[in-house]
Amino acid sequence: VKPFHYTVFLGLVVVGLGASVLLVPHQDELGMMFFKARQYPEARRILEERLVAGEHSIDVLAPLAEILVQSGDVERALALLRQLPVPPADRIELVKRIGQFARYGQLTGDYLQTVEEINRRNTSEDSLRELANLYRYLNLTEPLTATLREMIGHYQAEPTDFVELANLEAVAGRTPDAAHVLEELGRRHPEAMTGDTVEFLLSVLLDAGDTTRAEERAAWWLERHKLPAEAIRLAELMDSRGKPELGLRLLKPFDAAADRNPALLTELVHLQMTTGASEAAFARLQRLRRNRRLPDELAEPLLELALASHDLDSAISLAGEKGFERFPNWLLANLAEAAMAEERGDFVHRMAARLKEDFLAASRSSARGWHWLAAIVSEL
Amino acid sequence: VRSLALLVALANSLASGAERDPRIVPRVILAVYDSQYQREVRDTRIHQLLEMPLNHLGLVVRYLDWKQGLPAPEEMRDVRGIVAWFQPGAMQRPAGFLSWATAAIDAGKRFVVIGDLSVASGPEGQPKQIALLNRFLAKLGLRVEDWVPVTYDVRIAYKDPKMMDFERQLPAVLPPFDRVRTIDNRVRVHLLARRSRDAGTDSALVVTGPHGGYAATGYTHFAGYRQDQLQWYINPFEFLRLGFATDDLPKPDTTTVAGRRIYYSHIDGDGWRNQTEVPRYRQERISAAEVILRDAIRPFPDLPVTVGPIAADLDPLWFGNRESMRVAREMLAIPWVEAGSHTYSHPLDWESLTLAPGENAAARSGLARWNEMWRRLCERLTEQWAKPYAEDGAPTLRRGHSRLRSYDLYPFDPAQEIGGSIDFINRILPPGKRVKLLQWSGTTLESETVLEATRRARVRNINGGDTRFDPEFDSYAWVAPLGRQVGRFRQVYSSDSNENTYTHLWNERYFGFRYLIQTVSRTESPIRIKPFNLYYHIFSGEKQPALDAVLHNLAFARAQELAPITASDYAAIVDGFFTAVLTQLGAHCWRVENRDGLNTLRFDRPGEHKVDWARSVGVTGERRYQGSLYISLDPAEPVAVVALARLSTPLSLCHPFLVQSRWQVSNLQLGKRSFSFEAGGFGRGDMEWQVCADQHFLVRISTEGSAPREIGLSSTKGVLRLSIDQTLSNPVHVSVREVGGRA
Repeated sequence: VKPFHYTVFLGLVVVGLGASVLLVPHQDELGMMFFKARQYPEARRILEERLVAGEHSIDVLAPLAEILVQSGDVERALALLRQLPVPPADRIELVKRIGQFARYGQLTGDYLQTVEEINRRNTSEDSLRELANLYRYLNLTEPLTATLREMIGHYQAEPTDFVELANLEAVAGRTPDAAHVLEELGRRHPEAMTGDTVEFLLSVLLDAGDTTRAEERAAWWLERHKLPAEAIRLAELMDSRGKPELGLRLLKPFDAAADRNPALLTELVHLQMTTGASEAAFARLQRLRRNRRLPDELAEPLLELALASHDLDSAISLAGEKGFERFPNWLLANLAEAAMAEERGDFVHRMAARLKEDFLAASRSSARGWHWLAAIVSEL
Repeated sequence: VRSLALLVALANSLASGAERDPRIVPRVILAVYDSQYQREVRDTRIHQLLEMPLNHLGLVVRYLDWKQGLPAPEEMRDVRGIVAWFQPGAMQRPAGFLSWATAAIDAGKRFVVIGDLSVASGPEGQPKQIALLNRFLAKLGLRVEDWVPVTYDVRIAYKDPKMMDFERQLPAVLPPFDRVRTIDNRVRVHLLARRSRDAGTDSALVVTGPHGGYAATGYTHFAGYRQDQLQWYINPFEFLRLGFATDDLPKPDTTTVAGRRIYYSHIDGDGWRNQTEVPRYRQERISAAEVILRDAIRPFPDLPVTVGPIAADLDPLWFGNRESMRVAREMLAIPWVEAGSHTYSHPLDWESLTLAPGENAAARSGLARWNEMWRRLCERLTEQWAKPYAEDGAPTLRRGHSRLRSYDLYPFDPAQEIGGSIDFINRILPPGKRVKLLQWSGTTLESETVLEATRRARVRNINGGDTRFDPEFDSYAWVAPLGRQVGRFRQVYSSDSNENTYTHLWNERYFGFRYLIQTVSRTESPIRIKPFNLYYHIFSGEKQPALDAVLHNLAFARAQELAPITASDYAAIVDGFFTAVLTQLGAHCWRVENRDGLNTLRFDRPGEHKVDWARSVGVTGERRYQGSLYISLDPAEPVAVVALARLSTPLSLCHPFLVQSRWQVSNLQLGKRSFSFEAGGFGRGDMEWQVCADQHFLVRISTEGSAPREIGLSSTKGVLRLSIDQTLSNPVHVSVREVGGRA
């Protein structure tokens, strides 16, 4: 063995010792080691000491926050996470973790803030939907409206999103916006246009003053759904919005079928009466009556029309034929008044005899006809 | 003497001119559902949302699939009312149902309709058979007109503040609805909608009346896209109270004994052999069960707990070992530990096991048996009894590899799961102790046959329900009813959820169980709707945060004024709720019988009424709390008579009575200037008695095997406070004798 060998050996020993010293973990590594070994009390003690010493690195804050959240100290864990110095690229992951902690701590407000931040940084249909769910749950109408607008503006969105947004716009009085959303629904999800959505669309168009477009859309719908029930529904809608003439026009293509469809005929006659076309309606109902094809439902409008046309004979004959009891009291009062005016007291007596006290009890009215009937009934 | 007292009470009751013939008070609500849409009772909205408030109102819900036939009026004598909450527009031929419903109202039954009556709708959304429907609705004082699908111009014209905005306000966009008009001025409208300020378009959306009630679809509660988002718009307690006219009904109460809120605790044995990760025990390498024994059971002799091991964790022919057995023997021998069973092999999916005999067939075949034997041998050789994973929480099963059961070493046998596990655990109990409770495992959805087996084994049953009421499950909608009807039997639900729902099935947030306190608090006030139930698994002893949560909850329980009882006693109380028969003997006078373990009656609007001691029998006390009157019945009296009198009525006798007690009080005997009773319970026996005047008393406490103790006490403001040493073996016999006025 030569001195050279001793030197090499000594050198190796020195290097070995040096390397061993380097392998001894430092205080700043111990905390993480204990953390990874799930020795949380030891890890926490060391990490807390480092934090108190002013160390706010990710190696201290992140594991300490995890340990704290495991022990249920969610608020402090959240505070530490919020201090984490992370590059912008990693920020989104951090915000997701903050959101998870907020949920652990049942902190709905904090969770909402994190979902809002995630959405701001990385908008997607999913993040918008999560946000919308939260706003809906929390009854936050304006943010919900804005979120749905964004979802529909940038993504495919579901038909229910469109209908909800249209409703929110309409409730807020923005009917043109609501109409626009529903038109968009028709373009992007034509299969979602149902009778209900069309009714909604026509309502907002009419409320927005766009009568022409409403009529167009109604006609378009009825072109595709040639069902009397649909026509009646839309005609009723037009009427309820003060546009009976539009309703009447919608029913025109179904006119021929009306004689065989009492509901359709009822709506048609009602609209004719409302729009001043009572004569045509009266003629039609008279014709049906003569042909013994007058549906029962139409007896009341026919009686009303007969009185309006001063055709008392037809009115009396109809009332006699159908029975007084099936007509509303106000109409009977009108009939009595017309009969008295024509000096047909005998008929009024007959009416009174049939109606008796039940009529009196059930139909208090200030109409003159009622008073006459009441006076006669009380004499009987 | 008791019989004589009962006769006297009956005679007193009958003597009153206003009294009627005795008659049974109907408490059953028939819940009609459609099995085409809700296959099981538990799937119905009535079970999920309405049964809890109905139970709170003292009502028993009986489910009826309308497709299985509708009962004749004479079969509905015990029925107080009917509730229907159908899938919209599904009933194609509703004539039979509507005629039956109409006849039921004619027969005096109340009818509550939520949503529509499922009568099929036309393209306009309007029911097709509208005339038929209106004939029925007319009985409720209502008439349905047209369907209103577009609501943006509809506003709420009237909202009853007592009925609406209960947990949340209606949304800005109102749900579409059937336009319903009232045609009977006795009907009370609680929510009225109006279009464009036109009163002609008024629609009643929530009403109650002399024959029941109605709430429109979408106006009862909010249901979000996420499963946990449920909240009531209407106040279900108020709606059902008015709909079924329950003010005069004495409510059998399952939350309270001896004037105090019930506390009970039970532990399912899952994770028995899991090695704990709790730092201070890591060196010892002890099991989670041992940790629970040392930290959560031994230090709390004042808080009883029922422990239900899984027999397979103890049985050496399955996965038991000497250590698991030792811990079980030690734990179950503790006086304040009640023995339960958490089955033999821990079925996870009871329904599939019951419906899939294939699992048995396969297991019983010769080849399968041979394979089982080999597998068992191999596993024994290759695997130490180290840490099998938690079954309920993390379904990563080490053995069996079946999701149907945690341990499937042998074929599934329902008899072994119930009777077999009970027999096994009974064998390791100290003399005189028996298994009292079967704690359901897994899905907790047992069949009628399995429930019947518990009856045969003479044990009560519990589990299921998962009640939560905290910021995550922020509604009474998450508070479960008392149990589930399973054919002829009832599964008793535990009153609070265990740690599984707080820890994402034992996957994260292991500290989460400490949030139990929120549920406990919100089910206590403003109305007490549940007892305090601390229910968890043995695997909570595995992790420090979970153990801390349990200890936190135990400490909270210790700080409350509670009446601790065993879990089987609670199950007996619930069983009593379902079986109790109330017979009206006269004005404000009822006989209560068949009540099993139930010993409290509650009156929610007692007004100026209090117990009429002269006419009552088997009543030990009364207490007013949160506007209700809780009446304690004597457990020693199987038939009690409860009579009420106005506060202003001068009562002839001065009658000492119990106000509240930690221990259960029974066999109350009144003497001349003295009274005596028996008492037993857990912890120090604190109690308060209302006595006639401020006096000195001599209290003598005697117990078997030790000399009687005598103490002198004085009452203050008519209240005598007693405290019985918890070291005394109980029950104790206590006699209280007046010895003179105060100096």
